[in-house]
Formats: sequence, C-alpha cells, structure tokens
Amino acid sequence: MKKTANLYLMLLLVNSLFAQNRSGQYICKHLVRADASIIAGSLHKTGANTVHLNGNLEYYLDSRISIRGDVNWLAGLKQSVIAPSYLKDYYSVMLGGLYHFQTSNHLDPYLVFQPGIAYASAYAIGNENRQNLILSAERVAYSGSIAPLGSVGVGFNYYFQQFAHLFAEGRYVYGNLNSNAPAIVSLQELRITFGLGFNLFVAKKN
Amino acid sequence: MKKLIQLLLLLPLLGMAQTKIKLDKESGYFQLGVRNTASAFSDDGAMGFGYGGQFRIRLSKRINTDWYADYLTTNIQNVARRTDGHIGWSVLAYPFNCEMIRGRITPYVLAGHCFDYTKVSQNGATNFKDRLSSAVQAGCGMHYNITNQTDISLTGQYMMHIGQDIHAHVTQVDQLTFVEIEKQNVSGVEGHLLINLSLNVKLFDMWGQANRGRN
Repeated sequence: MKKTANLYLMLLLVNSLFAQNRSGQYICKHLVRADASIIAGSLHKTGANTVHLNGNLEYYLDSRISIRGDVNWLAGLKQSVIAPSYLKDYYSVMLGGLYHFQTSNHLDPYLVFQPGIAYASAYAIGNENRQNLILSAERVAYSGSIAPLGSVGVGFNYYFQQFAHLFAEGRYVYGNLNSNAPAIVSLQELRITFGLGFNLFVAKKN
Repeated sequence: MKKLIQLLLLLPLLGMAQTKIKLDKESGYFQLGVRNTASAFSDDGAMGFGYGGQFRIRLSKRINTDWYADYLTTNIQNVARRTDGHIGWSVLAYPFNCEMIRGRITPYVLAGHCFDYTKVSQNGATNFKDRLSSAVQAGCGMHYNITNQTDISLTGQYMMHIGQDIHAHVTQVDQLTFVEIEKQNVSGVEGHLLINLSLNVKLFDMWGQANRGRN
C-alpha cells in the first residue's frame, strides 16, 4: 500500500513538471538556455573513442536565431588503432549560431554552425610498443598547439517545463592538430550528446 | 511677359517637389560574425584550415566594410607545418540586390588589405622561419539572408602577400625525408586562395538611418 502511494506521488511529481505546458512554441526572443553534459565522440580518422565534458550557454536573438558558446574538455580517450601520434590533451571553445525551425509545439529542432578553436597536444610512443598498442609505455609528449575547428550539427530541445528542457544533438567537428609531433593528429569527430538543460527568461515574451 | 518668365522659371520646381526621398534602410548596421576559412593553392601545395571572426560596418546601401582576423594552420606533407595570422579589412560592393531580406541572396565583390604573420616550422624539431608582411586581396561572394538580421556568407578571395616568401622543401632520399625551410632574401609576391564561410548577426544601427523618417 505504501509502495503504491509512493509510486502515485512520484507520478504526480513528474506530472507537475508538465503542468506548466502552454500552447505554441516555448522559445522566444531573449530566452537564455544553458546545459552541462557529457559528449560521446568518435575520432574516426585517429581510431579513438572519446568522452568530453561540455558546458554551453545560448541566447535567442529571436525565435529563429540564437548564438551559442560551448566549452569542451576531453575527459577520456580510448585508442584502438595504431597511429604515429596520439591525442593527449584537448580543450576547445566554440562560438556560433543556431537556426531554429518553427513548430507548433514545444519541440525546438535546430541546425548549428559553430567555428571554434582548440588547445591540444599529442604524444608518441616507441615503435615496438606502438605496434602492440601498449599505450602505457614510455611516452614522448609534445608541446600543445592551437588548432582551428569547424563544426556543423543537428539537434533539438524539448521545452516541457518553464525552467528546464530536454535536448539531444549530433555534430561533426573538423580540424587537425598540427603540432611538433611526428605526424598530425586528425580532430575530425562525430559527437553525440543528450540531457537536461535549464531555461532563463531574461525578458518578458511580447 | 515678366510674369510669364517668372512662372516658367518656377515650373521645374513643381517637378522637384514631387520627388519622394527613398529611405536607405541598409546603411549604418554593425554586424558581428564568426567564420571558418580554407586556404588552398599556396606555394607549399597544401590545404590549410582556419578560424576567425569579423565585424562589418555598412557605409551605404551598396558599400559595406568587413574587418576581420583569421588564424590558419596548414599541414605540409606530415613533416612541417605552416601557421598564418591575418588581420585586415575589405570593402564589399553590392552591384545587384543590396537589400537584406530573409530568403534572398546578396552577391558582392570585394577588395582589401591585411597585415599577416607567417611561420613555417619543421615537425619534431625547433627549426622554423617566420615573417611579418602585408597583403592585398580581392574576390567575390554572397550573403544568404536566413532572417532579416542574420546571414550566412560564402566568399572566395585571392590573397597576395607582399614580402619575403617562406616555404618548406620536402625531399625523399631512400626512406628518409628531408625538410628545408627557405626564406627568400628578396621581397616578392606569393598568394593563396581563401574560402570563407561565416555567420553574421546584425547587432545595432550605428547612425539610426533605418529609423530616420519613421516618426
């Protein structure tokens, strides 16, 4: 009986989140949204899977266009292919715009174009260890360099509640790390992320 | 007779009084944007890629100015790298459509000047050569106005650097690769093609031209 009551309360709680629903698209001029998320990526030319920590802030100039800044930090990398140089550190900042498609509900699908800049470094390992993919072997680390990035992607926000939204996004990042390492490290990557973000209305909707 | 001459002299003024002053709603806008740049056909024969930003100040209906900064890196056959920094400006002229209306394309021609820094370095070594120089550029492009306030611009321009040319010679003997970075003693002209893709947002009207005459 107690379990059933708890379950009922939980359902009510979830339902209360949706109680703020209103008709039409939620997005409007001056809306600010932000989220922090974990991004799963694949550096397909380097043969590595990545995990990035991401934070972003977005401001809607009107209901179709918003500007957004992202910061990313490479939190983990799993190398599965033999390469002359491997990625060691990778931090990036991106700034660009989003085009939002108009819908009649709370779904906010968009296209994103974000150029950016990365600070990254590479390392190399001895040939024998490299052939056996023993990446824990003694490394030769090279100093970091700045690498230009470009990215395009698609995604959506779902504004189910006044102060929060769900989001999902996929994007392609293009770039190369030209450093002092023996070979360039490709930063071409497919990234996928989803999660919960927050809304802040900095001005009243007209 | 005197009255008739006076009336005849006043006649052209009647025509002038009917002239409607067409408002120039395009000039005065300040735009801010970010961009990616691809560099091709340089002396090293390698493709470069860059990141940059620009602001635009629209001087008149048909003339715009673009003030930009770019940072480009180029991989030279996996054994050397080239880094370019550009700070410059261009004048854009709109010979055809010049109105920034959603869904319309605005073609333009441009010409300008920039200051640049170039560094060519050998990978895995401390060997490098650099130079500061000046460049001129000219090209054409188009804005696609995705809204009345925002455009995506695609530009192709050829940039000619006026200064001491720097490039890397890569030679292979048996299995060994040798790199020689050469800086020419005599100033000359060396160029590359730049293709920019940018996103630009109108932020504000600098001299209130668009609102003039509305009140």
